[in-house]
Formats: sequence, C-alpha cells, structure tokens
Amino acid sequence: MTAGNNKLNGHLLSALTLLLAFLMFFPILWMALTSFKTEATAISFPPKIFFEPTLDNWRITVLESAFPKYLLNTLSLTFFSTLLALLVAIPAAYAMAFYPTKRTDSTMLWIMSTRMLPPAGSSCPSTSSF
Amino acid sequence: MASSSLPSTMPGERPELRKYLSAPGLFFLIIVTQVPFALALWFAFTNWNLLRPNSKGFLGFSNMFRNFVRILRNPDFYTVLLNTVYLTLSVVVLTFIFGLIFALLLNRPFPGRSLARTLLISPFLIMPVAAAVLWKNVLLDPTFGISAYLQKLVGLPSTYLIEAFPMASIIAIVTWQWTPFVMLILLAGLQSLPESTLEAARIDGASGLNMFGFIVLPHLRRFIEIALLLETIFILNEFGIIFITTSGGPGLATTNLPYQIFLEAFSRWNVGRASAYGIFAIVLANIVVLFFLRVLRNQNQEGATA
Repeated sequence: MTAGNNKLNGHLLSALTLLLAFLMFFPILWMALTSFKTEATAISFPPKIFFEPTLDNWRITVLESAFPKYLLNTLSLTFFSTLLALLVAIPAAYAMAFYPTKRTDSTMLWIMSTRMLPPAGSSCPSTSSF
Repeated sequence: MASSSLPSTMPGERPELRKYLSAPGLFFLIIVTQVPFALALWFAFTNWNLLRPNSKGFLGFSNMFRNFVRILRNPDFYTVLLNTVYLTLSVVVLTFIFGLIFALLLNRPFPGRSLARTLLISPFLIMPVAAAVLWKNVLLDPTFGISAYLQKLVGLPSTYLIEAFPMASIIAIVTWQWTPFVMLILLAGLQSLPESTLEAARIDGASGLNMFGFIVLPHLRRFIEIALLLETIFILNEFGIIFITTSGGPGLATTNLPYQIFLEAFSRWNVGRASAYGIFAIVLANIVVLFFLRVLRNQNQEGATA
C-alpha cells in the first residue's frame, strides 16, 4: 500500500534525521562526558562510556581558577559589542531600507567588503601603532 | 533593493534628519576598518621590522614595491594562496551539500524535530578554539581518541589523522562547525516557501524531483547566495582552528593567507612584509567574492530564461 509505504518512509527519514543530529552533536557530548572523567579515565583505551564520574574538573575550573573572570570578560565583551553594533546599525539599516538613495547599494557592498579584511592584517597595524 | 511604497514623508517627520541616520554606523566603520587599512597600505611600502629598531622607513621610490616583489618571487606564496582557495572552496561546497540535506530533513514535522534542530545547530555555538582543542586532543588523538578506537574496530593500525591528512582534517573540522550556519539560513528559506505553492504543484502532478528543481531551489536562490557569500568571507579568514591543530604545518601544508600574515607579523616581526601580505589577502577576498556573485547571478539568469 502506498499510504503504508509513505508512513514507513516518513519514520525512516525521521530516524535518519535524529541519527545524523546525534552524530553532529557527538563531539560535544563526548567533551561533556570527558569533563566528568579523571585524567586516568580520560586517556584510557578503549574509550569508556560508563565510568565513575567525578566533579573534580568542575570544582577546579569554577572555584579554584580565574575562570569566573574569563567568563565575565567574554560576557561583557559580547554584550557591549552587540549593544554598540545595534545602536549604530539599527538607524543605518532603517534609513537604507526605507529611504534608499543612489549610493545605498554601493555603500552596502562597501560595508560588506570591510568584513573581508583579514583580522591578522588589520590587527597588525592597530597593535603596532600603539 | 527595497523599493518602498511608503509616502516619502510621514506626517510630523523631519526628512532632513534621515540622511544622518546612517552616519554613526558609517563613521564607526571608517574608523575601525579604513584607518587600519590605510596604515597597512602605508606599512606595505616600508621596510619596518620590529627586530631592527631603526628600520621604520619608506622604501624609497626606486624600490617602493620591494615587499610585493619579494612575496611574488617567493614560491611559498603560491602554495599558501592555493591552500587558502582550496580550504575555502572545499568547506563552502561541503557545508552547502550537508547544510541543504539537513535543512530538507528538518523541514518536515516529526516527533523530536526541535531536539534534532538543537543538536544540529550546536557545533556552530562552540568557540573555534575550543572545537579545535576538542578535535585535536580528545577525538583524533592516536592513542586514546575515538578515531583510534574506530580504526581498531575495523582492524586498521592507529594513525594520527591530523598528521596523516592535515588539510583534510582541517576541512572536516571547519565543515563540522559551519554546516549548521548554512543549514539555519536554508531552513529559514524553506520555511518561508508557501505550502500552497507546493500543494498546487502536487495537484498538477509534479514529481518530487521536479518540485525540488523548479520550485524549491529557485526559491532558495537568494538564501543560498547570502549563506555562501558570508561563509566564504569568514572561511577565507580562518585562523583559530589552523593555529591550534597544525600551526600551519607540516611544512606549509595547511598554512593559509591569514596564518601566513600572522607568522610574518608576530613571529618574524616583519610588519612591512606582513602588511603587503594583507593587501594580497584583501585582493584575493575581493576576487573570490566577485567571482562568486557573478556565478550566482549567471545561474539566476539561466533560471529565469528556462
């Protein structure tokens, strides 16, 4: 029956999608698992899926290292650069979308082209000139 | 371009203010991009090397292009150039194929769909440096990695894949990171396709392949264009994963232009030469992107006449 076949195909497709999703996610899952392993378990061969978990790595990272400081640095860098980008980008995007002029197209192309400058190339002058 | 159907002036609006709306953004961009660019252009004509403190000076009109000439005469430059193009094109093609497949698979209702979507996006949310460390030291390690385990399962001797296939490993890692990006944009494109169009085609008796080729793909064209263009620009500048996994080696096997600029500037301290490399990188980026846009435009026109 075609209806039955379609249903079976649908289930197979869903299973395939979930399998692919799991494979894509697997490295991250493995990283998370490894974070609960001791050094000896982490480098044991064959790799262990079942093991006695330890919170040592987490305790050392969160409580006994500068990790909270790094996290705060990352968060504030992300937050403030996003805020600044939105502040200048929203008015510009509004003007370009609703009141385009002759130069709007070329301006947008130019804005995109600034993304092509390799960071290594632009950081070299910025760091050396200070 | 958005052709606006709004009245040219809203009541109570001051039209003279409009042209200043984009000024802050443009001003900011000019400061942070054009000034370094102008400086890089100037440095490219100097023999400035931080190891020789007295060297910061213009090369002189007679040999002002010395940095450029030295680079063009260096056979390594062409290897690096080829690596950059090879890495970028491979990743763009692979992420497009996988991204399209994942987007199509996700674009149908089934139980666990949002879970699958979250899992598929996750590689993109990992920082490149963390991803590189994860792949290099945990997954692909030749003594205790997953790759060693899989090789043992199929009866192969354990090899360090990053050492045996350095470029392919980097392409694989970057593809793993960037497939979700393409998938997300294409999925948004697929979801904006009205169901009624497909329904009409189905009633007219179109096959699945025909619907894909004549309705879905043309509709996705703009989304594909945006995704691949942005991706190309970012992958041309790929640095973190190369730095962590292979440091551009062995030899020059995985050195791309950004990595070469980094070496020239921050390990040989030759600011003049590094800036000249930067100019070449910008030229390359422009060529690749313009080529890309042209190819896509041509396909658009063929699609329109067919």
